[in-house]
Amino acid sequence: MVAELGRILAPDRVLSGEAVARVYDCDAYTVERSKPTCVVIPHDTEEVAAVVKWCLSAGVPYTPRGAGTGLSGGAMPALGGVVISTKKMNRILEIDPANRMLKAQAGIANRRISDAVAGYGLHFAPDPSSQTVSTIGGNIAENSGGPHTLKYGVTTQHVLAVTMVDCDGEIVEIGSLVPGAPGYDLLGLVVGGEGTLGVVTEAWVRLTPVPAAVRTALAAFPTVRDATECVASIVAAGVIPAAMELMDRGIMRALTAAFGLTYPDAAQALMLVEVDAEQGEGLDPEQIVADQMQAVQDICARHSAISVEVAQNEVERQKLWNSRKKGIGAMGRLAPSIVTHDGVIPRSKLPEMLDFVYQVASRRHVGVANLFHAGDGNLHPCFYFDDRDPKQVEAVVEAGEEIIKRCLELGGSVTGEHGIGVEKSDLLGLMFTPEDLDLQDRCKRIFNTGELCNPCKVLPNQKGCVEHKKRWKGVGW
Amino acid sequence: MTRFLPESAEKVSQAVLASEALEVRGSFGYKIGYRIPLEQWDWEWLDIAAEKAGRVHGEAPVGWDPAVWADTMTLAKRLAGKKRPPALAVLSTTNLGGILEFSPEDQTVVVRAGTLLADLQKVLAAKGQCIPLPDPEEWGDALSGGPGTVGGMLSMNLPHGLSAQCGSWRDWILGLEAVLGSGEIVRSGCRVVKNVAGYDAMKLFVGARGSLGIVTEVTLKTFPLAARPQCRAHFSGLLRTRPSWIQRTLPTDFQSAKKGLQEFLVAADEASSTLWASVPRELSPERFPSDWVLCAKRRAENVPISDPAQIRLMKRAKSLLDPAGKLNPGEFGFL
Repeated sequence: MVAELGRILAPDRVLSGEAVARVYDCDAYTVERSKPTCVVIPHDTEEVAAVVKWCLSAGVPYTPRGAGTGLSGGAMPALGGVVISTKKMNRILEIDPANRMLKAQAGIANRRISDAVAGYGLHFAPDPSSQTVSTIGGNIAENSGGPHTLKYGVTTQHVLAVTMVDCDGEIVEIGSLVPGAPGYDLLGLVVGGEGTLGVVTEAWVRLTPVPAAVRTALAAFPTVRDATECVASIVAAGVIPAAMELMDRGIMRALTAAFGLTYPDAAQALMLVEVDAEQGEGLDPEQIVADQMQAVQDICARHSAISVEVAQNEVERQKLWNSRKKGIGAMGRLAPSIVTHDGVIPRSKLPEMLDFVYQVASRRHVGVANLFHAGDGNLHPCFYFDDRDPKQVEAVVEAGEEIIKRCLELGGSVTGEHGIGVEKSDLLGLMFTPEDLDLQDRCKRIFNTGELCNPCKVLPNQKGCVEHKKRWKGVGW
Repeated sequence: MTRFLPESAEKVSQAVLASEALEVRGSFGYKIGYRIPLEQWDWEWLDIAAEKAGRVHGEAPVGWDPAVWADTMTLAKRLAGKKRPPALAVLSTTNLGGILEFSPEDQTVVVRAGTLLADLQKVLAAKGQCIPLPDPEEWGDALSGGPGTVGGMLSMNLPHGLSAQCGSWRDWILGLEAVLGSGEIVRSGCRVVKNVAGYDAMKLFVGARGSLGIVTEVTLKTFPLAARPQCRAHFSGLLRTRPSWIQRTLPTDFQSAKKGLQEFLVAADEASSTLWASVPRELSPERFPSDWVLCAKRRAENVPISDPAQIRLMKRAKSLLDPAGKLNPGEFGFL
């Protein structure tokens, strides 16, 4: 396999061996692992097509991979075979500032797109936490979100068209540079298809003007309930913040331990809120954000806020954002391991849901801290524990399942932005009936009728996958 | 002709299973002929045309306008080898109305597909919410993307005057229930604003013009009325005009396209580079790279899709979700 693929690409662009197999056996979801036979590093769409055609003729499974920051195992080569890495496909192909769009290869890091067009006053709006490394191809596969999705939407709202190597090895273009074109929304399936509907190799993305004015504030509340109710009031008042994030006492404790950040003693929750405005006809963006921030401050006061700190300049703004962006990293100070969950509930159920999370954690004797996209109702409870103690691992796994099930009971979803991958495919059956899952299977078969393109992901009980599930667990530990 | 007026998804499913072919009515925004509706496929006329085509080898017979003849040939070729049309039944979603759940604090509403958008907007407005479309009383039918039922407007997915600022149906839809052409009642999505659980099947029904399934219930994200941006489109003031030509271009081509349509313009929205016009049938306005057009009364030209890969994938989707081709046969001209 290595020799044949080496002839298609170049011998030094086919990696194999024990070390390579170990590096590429999982993504940022490390609980399940499976080793590839080799990793190929194509330079362009034609090379990807040649590799895919070889895999099809040889009956070898293949799995596309970007930066490997995915949190549900989407880039794990579930049945071994070939990993197609896009890491050398990182060129910008075309910038069209007048039409606010850019074409790049799939392996470019999300952040590099924004950097490349900053001079035009534009940026690529989706901003997952991994954006300095995660690739546009990976963002498209997972339909990635980020803090600013509240106002700007997720990846699917920012992709115009893709070039893809389909499951027959042919190069196809899907989507339209002029959005809203007639016909079925096939691009809507490919974005969020978790890399199972073909290998996206290039994309035209939409660029958004950098806001002309921004105001950011960090408010502290005496109870989590006050904070969550404040979130609801801000939205009800007709303010659409660019971001609205919540952190609880557990996150504050970690931030204090790790970075010496301090918060009012009585604070049980922090809310980071950002409002922004674009340059518009006859409207002063500075005035708009000032008015919106005043409205936010008034609402915070009504919800018993202990303090509301408004950033006066960019340095202060970045400082406030640290409480959000460094939250997960800081958790490392509390315990050797953390598991971050990703559930969604209707926003009004946030207070009730958080009470439930705390109950579960205390009943199962595990530590929990919460940091989440409150505006979207997207919850990220982080359990911290010692993974050398199998009892703690078991408690954390069970706690996670309890929380996800509660999300569903409250009318929510098993994942808001991390995806199904291999991690949650068994949970889909809790959310959907067999008929609903059959509809999803039909959607998959529009693109993928075989079993070689990124197998065993998303849908449960796929042919040839069930017997492998046990093998994946714990391979790396 | 059989007429179905189902009042539940189960009844819709029964109607689908009992029919050879179904045209979904009352479900579409307004009767635009952007598709070739079955009743306009004049089968007898096409039979004659096909027969003549065989005899005169493509030359227009005496008394036929060559352009009309060419269109006829295109349709006849498409029909070649097909049997007589199946018995057509009509299904209207008139009795599938009503708002099932509205949660202003979550900004979500669950509504049955046959509900008129105007009725939904009234209920939402009472709690300071809306679906962010321009008000048809102020901006007319063209710029408001309607009027019609929620299911119909979502199925047509016509452009509107706030799409650059507020997005469109694909951005507002959180979940839906539909009856597939194969009769199953299925759901996709859920009631929260952010969700990546599984394949985004619901997106397939937006703009599908009822050709994959009959949408019976929709969950939508609502928008604060106070934050709905002002529509900034240029508007002729002709409230009830139904444009025969809708064109969207790249921003850099917008002014040229607008100039070309000048005297026929109904509305023009620079923010989304969209033009609505009433263009006489004999005129062919200029086209631009990457643009797209929806038009009426232009026969084969009404078919808005020409990319072979897209046609292949759409046909595959159709054969998977509506295997017997029962729903809105003739849709898009090739389904």
